[in-house]
Formats: sequence, C-alpha cells, structure tokens
Amino acid sequence: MLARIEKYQTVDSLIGELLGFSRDPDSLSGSAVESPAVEDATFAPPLDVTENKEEVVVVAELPGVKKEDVKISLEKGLLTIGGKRGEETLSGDARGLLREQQKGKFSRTVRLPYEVNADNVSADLSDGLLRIVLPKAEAARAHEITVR
Amino acid sequence: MTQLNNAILKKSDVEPGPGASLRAPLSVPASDISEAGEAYVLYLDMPGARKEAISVTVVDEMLVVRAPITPIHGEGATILYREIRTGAYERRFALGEGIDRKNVDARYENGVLAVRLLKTEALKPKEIVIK
Repeated sequence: MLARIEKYQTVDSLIGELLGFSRDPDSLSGSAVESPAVEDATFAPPLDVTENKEEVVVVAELPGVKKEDVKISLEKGLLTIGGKRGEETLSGDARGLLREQQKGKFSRTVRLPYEVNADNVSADLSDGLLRIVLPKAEAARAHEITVR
Repeated sequence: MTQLNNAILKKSDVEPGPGASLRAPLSVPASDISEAGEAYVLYLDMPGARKEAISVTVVDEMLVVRAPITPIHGEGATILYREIRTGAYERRFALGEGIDRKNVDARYENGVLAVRLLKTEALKPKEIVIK
C-alpha cells in the first residue's frame, strides 16, 4: 500500500487551498485546516462545494464505499469526511490484472465558507456519491433588501 | 494499447465513439480487473451514473462501457469549488479470442459497475486426472 498519496500540484488544488479546501493530508497542519482526521489516509476523494440561499452542499465521490464505512464530523467550521474503501470480494484464487481504483483509508477536510446549523446537517450516500446538506445559520443567510 | 494478459484481454485508450458529444467531455473510469477461475471481472468506478442509463456493449471485438454522468447540482446552486467530473463516462476494452462474447453479465452497485466475462472453453482451467 502507498504510504502517502502523491502530492497534488494542480492549479485546481492551489485555488482550492486558497479557499480553504485541502486535499493533501500532509498539508493539514497548514493554515487552511487545523488537524488531520485520519492520520494514515491513502487517498483524498474528489469533491464539489456549492451553495444556495439556505444551504451549503458538499458532494464527494465515494464509489465502492459502504454507508457504514463513512464518518462525517463537523467541528469549528471544519467538515471532515473520512472512512475506508475495501476490496471487492472475490474467490480466494482471484488474480489482479489491473489496479487503478483507489482503496484503503480516505480523508478530506473542508473549511466551510459559512456558519452552519450543525444540528440539522443531513447526509446521503447513493450511486457512489455522498451528498451532505448543511443549512446556513440564520446570520449567514442572504437577506434581500427591498429598494423603496 | 497496454497489453494485459497475452492477448486475452487488452486495455485500450479511450476512443470517443460517434455518440460522444463535444459538449460532454469524456471521463475514463478508474478500473480494476481480476481473473478468477472461469471468468474475468472488470470493476469500473462510475459514481453518479444511473443504472438504467449505463450501456455495456460488445462491438467489433471491443467491450464498450458508456454512461452519462447525472448532473449533481440543483438549479439555484452556485459552485464554490469543483473537482467532480461532468459529461459522460466511456471506456473500451479490447477482447481477446478467449472471451465468450455471449456471456457478459453486468451489475451496478455503490457507484461501481462490475462486468463479468466468461472465458471460452479453450481457456478454462482444466484439472488433469492422474491415472
């Protein structure tokens, strides 16, 4: 097993790091994120973050991951998705010819752009996509001002 | 082309088919392939596909897997950060002589498509009886 996932050096992730989304477990001690959720994570699943008037929505790709193997935590404005992806179960004499899928422990931490209502967070895992809906705290919601 | 197993099963790079729209970039699903006894099993990571929209076909000695990626964000959503692929999945695998084209079984679960290909008689492991 890989000791560490290779460093991501894409422009995308640099932009992400500026926004506070870290996908490199090694960088968790940096300013964006305060503490590693899973010390020995081997991969960081891709994710999207969106918002609408009432909610922040985080969607992560977790193909082959079972519901019971995902842990989500929210602390001090940091949302952490962690867990593990096991091997497909085949008969004992199966021989691997190609190995591209990422297996093992994963972890991803997002600094949420708004204060959220932690008691009303919901999460759903289906077709390999984890969708976490975080309602914005009342103070963080956009209020429309009527021009008189 | 990367040869996988003595011309029995080969992996090819993506060749966009005629159905591939220019507006929909193609994603190559990460895949594992296992060989077990009488079969090969291909596992393709296809999160966000819908079971009924996945097509698995054998055309011209190629196994072709395609599926549109269902848009995951609602109408009013503003994207703050994006890594998840959009468009469609497509991947082709060249089939060697030893694959039974009429016995292809596919199932989709937890965002992973598993395609089971049976070996033809000539390739199945045979036990030799000692007389």
